[in-house]
Amino acid sequence: MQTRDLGFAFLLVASAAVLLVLSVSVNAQNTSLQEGWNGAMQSLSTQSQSFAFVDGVGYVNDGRCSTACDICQIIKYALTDYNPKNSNGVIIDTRGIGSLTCTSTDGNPWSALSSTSGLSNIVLLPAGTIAISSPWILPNDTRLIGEGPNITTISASSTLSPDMIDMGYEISTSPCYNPTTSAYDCPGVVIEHLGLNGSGNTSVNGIVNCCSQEFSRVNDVKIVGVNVGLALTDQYAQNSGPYTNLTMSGVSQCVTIESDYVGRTLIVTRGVHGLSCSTTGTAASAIQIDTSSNSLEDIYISGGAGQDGVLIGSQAPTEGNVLVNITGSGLQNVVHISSANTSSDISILGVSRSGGTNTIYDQLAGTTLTDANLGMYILGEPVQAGTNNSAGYSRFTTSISANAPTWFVGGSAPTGSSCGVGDLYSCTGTTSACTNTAPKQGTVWECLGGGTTWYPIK
Amino acid sequence: MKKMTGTHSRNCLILAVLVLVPCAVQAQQSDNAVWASGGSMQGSGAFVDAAAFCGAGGSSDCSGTSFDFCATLNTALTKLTTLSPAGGVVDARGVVPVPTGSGTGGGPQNCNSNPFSGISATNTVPITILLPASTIKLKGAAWTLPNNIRLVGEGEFTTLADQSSFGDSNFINMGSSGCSPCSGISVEHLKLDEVNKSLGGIVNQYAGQSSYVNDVDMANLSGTGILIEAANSGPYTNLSFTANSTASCSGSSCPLCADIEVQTQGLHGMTCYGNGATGAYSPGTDVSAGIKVNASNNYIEDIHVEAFWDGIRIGDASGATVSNIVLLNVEGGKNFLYSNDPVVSAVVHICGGSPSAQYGRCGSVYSTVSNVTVLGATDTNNTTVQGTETCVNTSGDTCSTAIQDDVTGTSIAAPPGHLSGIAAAMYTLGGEIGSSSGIYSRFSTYGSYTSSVGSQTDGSPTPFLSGGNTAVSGLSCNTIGALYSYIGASSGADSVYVCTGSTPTWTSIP
Repeated sequence: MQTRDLGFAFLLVASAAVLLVLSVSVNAQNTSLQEGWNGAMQSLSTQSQSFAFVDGVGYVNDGRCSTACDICQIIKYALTDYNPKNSNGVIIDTRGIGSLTCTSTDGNPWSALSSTSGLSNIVLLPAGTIAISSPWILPNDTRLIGEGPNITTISASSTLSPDMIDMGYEISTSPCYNPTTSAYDCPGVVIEHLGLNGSGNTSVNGIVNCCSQEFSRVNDVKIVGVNVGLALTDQYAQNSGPYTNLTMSGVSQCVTIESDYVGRTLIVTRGVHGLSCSTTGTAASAIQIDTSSNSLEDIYISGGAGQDGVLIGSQAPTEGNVLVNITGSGLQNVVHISSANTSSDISILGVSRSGGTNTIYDQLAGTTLTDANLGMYILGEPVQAGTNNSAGYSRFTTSISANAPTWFVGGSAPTGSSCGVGDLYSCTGTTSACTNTAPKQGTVWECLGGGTTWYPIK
Repeated sequence: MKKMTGTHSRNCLILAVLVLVPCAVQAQQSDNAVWASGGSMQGSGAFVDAAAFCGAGGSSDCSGTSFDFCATLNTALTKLTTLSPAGGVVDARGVVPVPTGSGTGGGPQNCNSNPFSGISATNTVPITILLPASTIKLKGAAWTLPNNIRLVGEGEFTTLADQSSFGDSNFINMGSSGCSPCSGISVEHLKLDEVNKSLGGIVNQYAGQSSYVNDVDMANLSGTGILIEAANSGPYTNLSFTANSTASCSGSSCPLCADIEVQTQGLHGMTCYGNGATGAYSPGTDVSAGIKVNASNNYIEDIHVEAFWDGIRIGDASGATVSNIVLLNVEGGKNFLYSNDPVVSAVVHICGGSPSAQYGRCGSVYSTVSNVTVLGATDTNNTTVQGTETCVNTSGDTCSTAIQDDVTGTSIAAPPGHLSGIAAAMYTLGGEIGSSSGIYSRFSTYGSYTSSVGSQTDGSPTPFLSGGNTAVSGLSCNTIGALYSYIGASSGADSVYVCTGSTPTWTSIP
């Protein structure tokens, strides 16, 4: 009994000594302390803070919250307390936070940085559903990282408007604004590994990029039940992307890449690569492209019977867009090239149609293709004939539809084969193999008007 | 409330102490602390916080004129390899100077030594290094990453800069001859910023499989942003290069965004900004290029270039054979930040023996280039450079091309007056018949225009296949050899026409 008491007393004294050491080492840097800092062991018995990251758990009982802080308050106060003299950026780890419902009075958690030049911040979000009532407006060099698109979900309140997450802001008082050039740019905004859910608020947009350019991208994100899932709304989003590994369902539109409200044209993005898009079928298109020099790769679209999958050039002229591996299900047109504006130079490789009506509706060239699988359709430039500057378009396609000329190759004469007017056929067999009915013999054949007769050209 | 017994209260106090002192006998300095069974804590050797090695006496004081970031990082790396033979993470995100009251965030802090000293070039265990949002100024030599080292920053605010005493020609070497072929080396989420010297960015001569670069900003560089000489490395993704505003071009030396000299896993997403020198309109002395591709089997997509004479140049090395190159969504234009509004003269330039006097040539030597596929090449802002130049063979306002093919002497350029530029949906240069016939398989969507929109006489317009519902028979055309399929031909009538004749006319075949 006496031995136990002595041991306890020794432990108590030792503990007090350790606490004293801790107190000294922490107070030595009191001018830069921040709640929630990571602790690093300095020796077997002491630790000190590390600037490596701020754990949001340290803010749960912050006195600025009337009750326990919710996740929005925690992010906001961590950013508010962040001392830029410590480092050029801060990592806020909220993965241990359990209070995930933000109130309408929380506002934008990044408002603390909105009037500064904004250094970098990385916010790690927890598993669970985070309910927000105000748009999250991300300043430059913000990286928002969840634990997975089905694990970390940001849910919109019924009154949230107009967007759930904004990449930068087009306000002259924001750090995005450059008064010298009168232009906006909030680079380095990254959103990864999370989900967005409109939760019945179908008028709110998911992610909107007005003004985040270089090093700004979205990756591994699931968006459900919103108006537009991902919208690039302004020329100041140029050079952003890539937008990769996206899943959207129950949305009005999945992606829009737009010319801005005064018609300025977004020049180029690093593309949308990997998108599974399921719409409500109410909008004219699932994906709308009204700017130049974008790449869309590995896209699956499911939508309404009267809907376009990818609609190009309906609001502004475009050129230099490239589409690769596009699959549409139940759509009016998997790809629709609009004639509302003078677009050109559109490359499409690998388009598939499951159900629906058309694979490609090229309104500019007046061509409709219905092939279930199409290797290539490339629309180039207007072709001139005499004074007619647009007698047609330079085009290449592998479509076997009679609606667009293509170039077939075979080892024997095209006897009895149907054809489309203007098709070419190269007969690569021996002379005798390339004989139809003597003396009809040729290496190159054309499909005559009427679309029923192959005729040997040479 | 039930009153605790003396034993219970003592136990609770002990537990409280354990909570407040998160260390156990197994713990080592800098270990990450983790809860173990029974409510105790112990260190995890897989994660070492480098901040613990900042200062003497456990102060975490990473400041002072003598503080050496790299010495601290090296201590942590050495500790990690000692504690965790299987590798792990060195977290240096907390290694930043303690504020002095007037200091600014993140330092800068000096790197005066080799952070990888003592780490074998052939290191076999995976080590991830997390760098702080801080400016780290290098002295002496470049960082040469040993095998299986992954370098991860926090974005553009993790910056490597050079001290005046920096003695190397670039910031980072991926691997060394000591591990060739190296593997598992990567660089992500950081910025390289030339301050004092004329420098390049990343050199990869040795790191092949599983070695890549992602999300790196190469700012104000006078040299090559990234030099790739290690086969099968990559992908190289989400990159940006900005030439130093004062860097000049001398001889064959010029700022260069990326130089690809081997087969890679591709370059996906890059913005290249040149300067007044790299984009100066100077046919004949046109040495600059944003991206050089001098090896076969490379895929490049989503590229934006400003103010380099060539955007992407393919095959400017003597004696090399360059084939199987795929370019997708590449765009180039002017940069208005410089007083001479430097241009991109050729967004894509395929080097060969038939250069254009108007759009320049790759250089005095070129490779044997074939099988190049370009989808979506766009030349933006096709205006004159300063409004005073006279572009050869035109009336004066077409100074740039979407594609310049010196193998076949083809220019895909907008006609005069078409100031918004020109795009090419597809241009494919295939193979040559024989070895010197000059005859290549090709597909292009671009021909030429009539005088109604300007005379396009330079280069050789490329025949194309087209289709439309207009009866073109007997009408003039511009691109000799082009085909036109008249889909409205009446039953039994000819439907295919060719542009032919001394006065080019659409003529039925045969």
